[in-house]
Amino acid sequence: MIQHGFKIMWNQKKKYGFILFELFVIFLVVFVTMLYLTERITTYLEGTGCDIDNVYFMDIATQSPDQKQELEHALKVRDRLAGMKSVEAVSMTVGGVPYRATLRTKAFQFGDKRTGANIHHVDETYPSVLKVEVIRGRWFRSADDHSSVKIPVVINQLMAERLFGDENPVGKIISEKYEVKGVISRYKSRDYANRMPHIFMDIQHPQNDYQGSNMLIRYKEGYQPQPKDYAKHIYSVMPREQYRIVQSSRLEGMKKRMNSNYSGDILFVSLIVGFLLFNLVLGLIGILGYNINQRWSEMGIRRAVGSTKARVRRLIFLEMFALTVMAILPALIIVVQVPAFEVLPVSWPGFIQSMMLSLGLIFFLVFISVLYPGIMASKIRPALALKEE
Amino acid sequence: MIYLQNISKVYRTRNIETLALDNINLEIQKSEFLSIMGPSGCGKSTMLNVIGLLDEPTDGKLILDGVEINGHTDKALAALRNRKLGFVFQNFHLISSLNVQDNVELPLLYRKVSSGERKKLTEEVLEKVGLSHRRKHFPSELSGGQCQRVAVARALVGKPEILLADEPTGNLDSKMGEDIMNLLASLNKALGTTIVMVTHDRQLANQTERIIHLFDGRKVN
Amino acid sequence: MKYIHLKQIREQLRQNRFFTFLSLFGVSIPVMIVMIMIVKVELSINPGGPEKDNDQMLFLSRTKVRMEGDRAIGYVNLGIIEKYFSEIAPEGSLAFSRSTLTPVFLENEVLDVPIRYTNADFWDIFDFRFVEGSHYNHEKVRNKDNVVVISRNLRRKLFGMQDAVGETMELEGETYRVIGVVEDVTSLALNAYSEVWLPYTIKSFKSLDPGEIAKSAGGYRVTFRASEDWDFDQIQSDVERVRSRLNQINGEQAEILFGGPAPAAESYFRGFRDPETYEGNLLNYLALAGKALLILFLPALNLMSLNLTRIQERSQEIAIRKAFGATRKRMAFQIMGENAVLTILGGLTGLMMAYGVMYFFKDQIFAGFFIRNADQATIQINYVAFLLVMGVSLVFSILSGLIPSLRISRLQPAYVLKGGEL
Repeated sequence: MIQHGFKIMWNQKKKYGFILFELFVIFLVVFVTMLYLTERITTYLEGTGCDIDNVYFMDIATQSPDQKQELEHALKVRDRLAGMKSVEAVSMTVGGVPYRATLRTKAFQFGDKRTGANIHHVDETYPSVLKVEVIRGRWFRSADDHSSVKIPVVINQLMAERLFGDENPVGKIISEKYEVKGVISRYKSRDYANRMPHIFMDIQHPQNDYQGSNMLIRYKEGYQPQPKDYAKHIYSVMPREQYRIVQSSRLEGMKKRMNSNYSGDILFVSLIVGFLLFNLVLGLIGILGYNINQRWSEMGIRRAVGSTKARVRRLIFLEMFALTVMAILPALIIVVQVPAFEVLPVSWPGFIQSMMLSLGLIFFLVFISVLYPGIMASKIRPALALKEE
Repeated sequence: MIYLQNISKVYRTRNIETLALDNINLEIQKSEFLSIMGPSGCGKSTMLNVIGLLDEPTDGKLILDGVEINGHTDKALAALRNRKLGFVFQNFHLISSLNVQDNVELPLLYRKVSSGERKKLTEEVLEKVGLSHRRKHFPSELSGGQCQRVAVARALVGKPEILLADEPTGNLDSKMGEDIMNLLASLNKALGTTIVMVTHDRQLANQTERIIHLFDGRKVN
Repeated sequence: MKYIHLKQIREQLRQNRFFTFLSLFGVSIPVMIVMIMIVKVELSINPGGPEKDNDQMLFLSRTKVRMEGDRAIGYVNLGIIEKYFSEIAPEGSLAFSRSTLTPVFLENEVLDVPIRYTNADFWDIFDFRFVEGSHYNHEKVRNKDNVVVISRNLRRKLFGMQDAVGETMELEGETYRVIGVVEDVTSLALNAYSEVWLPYTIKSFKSLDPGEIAKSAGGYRVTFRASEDWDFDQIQSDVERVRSRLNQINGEQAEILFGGPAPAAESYFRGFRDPETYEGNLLNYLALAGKALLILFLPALNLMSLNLTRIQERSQEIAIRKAFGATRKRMAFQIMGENAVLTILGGLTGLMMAYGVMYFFKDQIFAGFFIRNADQATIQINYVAFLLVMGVSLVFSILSGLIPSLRISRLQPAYVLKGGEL
């Protein structure tokens, strides 16, 4: 039967030429859209690797030139904040705050391997505030690490792969200055960013130039953030002439704000493609409907000669299936070039996933378009269809 | 072979009731070659449709090759049509998107026949109608007479007991028509197929063994 | 075209309702999509509201600094603005602001409210409509007064129906006095949008060391207003000169690059992209046009298939027409005429649908899904764009009638009348 369906379609390929072409084009469009959507959605679902609920961010600017004093102030502030009843943990950081629009990168090397990486200066309590997952080694600790000459750092998995391949990075020295203390599984500066190498440096280490400090405050479950109280504690240590709280926000708010544009784009693209597919279905139904009408006598003959209603319906489906396959094969050949020749940065698993989704979608839509014509065809009464005019 | 007992057929549309067949009683023997005659609208095609299981009678009993047709499902009827019946129509009704060979083998697709077996049967029957050399051609490339011969081949490929022909020469010129009649007659003799032919042409009807006259849905003499 | 031909076309379409309906739908949806796309892009480029005169403005919001293996990208550094840009800009033509987010604690909820720190001239350059009170002036900015301007929306949330001027509110742990309330601003106005505006001096310091400034990104968006004496070219060359000065200070150590200053359209295309690798406006325009063309092309394909199918159906009719003397040209025109009429009707339907969709889904389409403030964005359908879209659609649909017409002309009446097919 499948052979039969293919035969019919193949013999009529000229007549169906334009549907073929349309299916071909739409498949390509759907495929590209799927690539885009799956990439965006996978990226988004990766998240930042941090738990940002109940975390509050305070950006403190300073014009104090005395780094040592700054560090002292910051440590005191951190301790006072951490002592608040409503606060669970506090971390000092420059960078290391997700959902901010500023980036700092630098090049690092190990042996003959090089990579750029985003730099974050954080303290030892950082993991307890943002709950990043340490999978190898440990986070740096002032008690243990501040006697060393090298600046302790923690890197993310991607950076570990780039610089060390399969080797264990813990204990190794990067760029002759930094000692790897641990590896975290993942970190991204925002939900929709691509995966990049990230390196976290010990902000308190004597060898590290002190960069300034912002506070990340994790407040306890059931509590609200208390910016007024936080500010009070901060200014109780840091004189207002030298320091200014320049930003005071919930990380959840920052996340929502940063993501809103991206999410809007995704939905917009999906809607557009959705409409186009709706168009396609309409067109297919129309054309198929007309074709069935034309083939009245053929349907009559088939029934006369022994075909059942169900078989007639199945035949229509098979024909459409054959048509779709005929349209998609050349498209697949084109589309396979993408990962094969690296036209776009797509991995094979990502490619296969998008392709399966696109194929599934197209066949599903074709199936829907054929439902009504198929039923129409099976309802044709042979006696009427074969009547002599 | 074929028994029609008190067969009636009424067509109902929204306002009108048409009595197409009125209490028909008919017995057709095996291997008979008979024709049904009558003016247009007298119910000949309807009777053929009823015999051909294409239409259900409103009243009466139909027995086909020993099987009483009563409350059969669509599937069962289709199977019966496939096994026991062959059809030839005035308008040929070939499938334009398939070539001759594929057209002829169509009934076999609805049975469990291997593709090798299909090929063999198709070849056989194409030989019989003299169109083996045109088996890869499409209906649009054939003359009317050739088309009808393909239709006959299709009707016979499954070796049915009964062949039903509705004005088979209607669209053909006299020479081609004659060819078809000769073909039918020879097949009737050689294979023993029962042939029921509908026609309004007296000359053609005279070439058959028996003529049934219909007028306004009734048998007349 | 003669009236009778139009009548014929109308009859054809009327008799084949299904086909007509399908084709109308098939044309109107893509037209609707393209129109909404165009409006979205236009709105992003000129969101109206306070930024409505942005054809007189140049925008600068990205800085990139390259240092030995180190890269930083961000907004513009305040030191550069205060020290250098304010020198080159004539009075009242420089606006700069920094926006951030902060929680505002109400009775039952916590709102993350966008706040914007601006200079005084910000209010001269952007056109805000004040519902109450007024904005802060140079003096208040100089004195770092704790004053704010809030949006109407926020006023409602904080103070209900009463007047807000004179009232106080708490932000980031400090108390501020409300001195003005403005009409809500659309979140598409990237340089002006906020719910709270306050003097930037409250949270800033005097400029840092010149060496530092020259290689820093920062947090501010900058807008230059052009005037007769200071036009776009002049502004851009002045900013370029500032950049050279900065790089002179940097010497070998670093290089600073600006993503602009650019007019509104380019600024929209640049978005958050790396200033160094921005691929240029032309490519972006082409990409947009390409997408629109593709979307408009697909219904033409549909139309073509439908045409072909209908021709099969009408082959007897066509054969008879030919037998009675109709010329190829005549019949080709009839088909293309049908398509043209369908396209025009479909296009108009699409335009109406676009209006409808944009009216009901204003927020979702234009302001992102999670920030709702599109109310103040004035949606204006660009009729020139619509004509262009119609033009393209017409071309496609008329072309789509060409191939079926060719089929007809090849038709031999006798063959068809005998019962053969096309």
